Amino acid sequence: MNSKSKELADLFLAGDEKQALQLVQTYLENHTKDELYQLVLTPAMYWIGELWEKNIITVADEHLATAICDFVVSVTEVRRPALNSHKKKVMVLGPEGEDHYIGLKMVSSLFKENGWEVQYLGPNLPLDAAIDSANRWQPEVIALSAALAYRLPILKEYAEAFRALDFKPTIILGGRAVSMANWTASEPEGTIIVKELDQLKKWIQTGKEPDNDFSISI
Amino acid sequence: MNIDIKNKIASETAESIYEAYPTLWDRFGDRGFEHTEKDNHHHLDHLETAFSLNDEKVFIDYTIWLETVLTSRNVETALIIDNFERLLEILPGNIDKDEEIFMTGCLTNAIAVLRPS
Repeated sequence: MNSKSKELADLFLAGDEKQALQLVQTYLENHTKDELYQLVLTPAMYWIGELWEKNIITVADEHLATAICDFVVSVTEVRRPALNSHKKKVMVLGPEGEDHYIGLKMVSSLFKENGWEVQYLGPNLPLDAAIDSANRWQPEVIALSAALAYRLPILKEYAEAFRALDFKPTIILGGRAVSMANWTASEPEGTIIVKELDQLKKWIQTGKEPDNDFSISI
Repeated sequence: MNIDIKNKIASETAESIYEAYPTLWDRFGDRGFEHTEKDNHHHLDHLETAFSLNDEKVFIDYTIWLETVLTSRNVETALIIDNFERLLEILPGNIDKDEEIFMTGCLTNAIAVLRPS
């Protein structure tokens, strides 16, 4: 892990939102938002997860760090004014049982920065509520993620349900569980697997799909 | 695996571990027993995930992660191996045959990963 991530992780764990925000804003003077998310924030949060695994910090420490990270992501988010009346729409959510949400917020922020209209529905959303919302709002894209490996089957269930919708949204799947998966089967048309945020940024800006040497069978 | 079977396997496995090692009550108390029961639900969840994705690596990765989490909380690797061996005993007959073949394979290979060479 790089020193910037380590420094930020320490500030998150100390609950020092002022210093954490300052560090991030200074970093953003010379870097892009997706560099911040992918190269600094994500490693910092993975590191904090590892500290919990090793019983070096408590779950309360982890929650405090998550809250500070959430604050930093929210404050640095750019909300671009609408350039035209028809913005593309994306719905962002985590499946039922999945409580990790910082990645979803980063994804939402990335879409907003690129001029999309975003409905961030948060983590742990039941499928029927997600389908209902999707049918009402009809987004071009539905993005969902899972952090833990045993959420992959439910992610697959959600993806299948969204793919069956009449308006045929593109489905984007991401999160730590997806990035660690190691299957060699091709995903069906209309489903995109993103391993890193820069792959998502590239897809948003160019429509080019990630050229992963892995993918999961959905 | 339906939820009733899962609950039954998780609670019977936790009970048999605490019967075999009664000092665990002194070391970890009632909360420890509850954790062991919950841990067995997690083991079964990951076995199910690995089966549904036909990817044993899901369970092996989980085992490596689990060992870090438990050994840092004073639960020794031998107890994880013992737990997995109990699942190897209890799963046959309680789940479908194809699940049984896949899951016992996962558990056997996970034990080999955990066992010192």
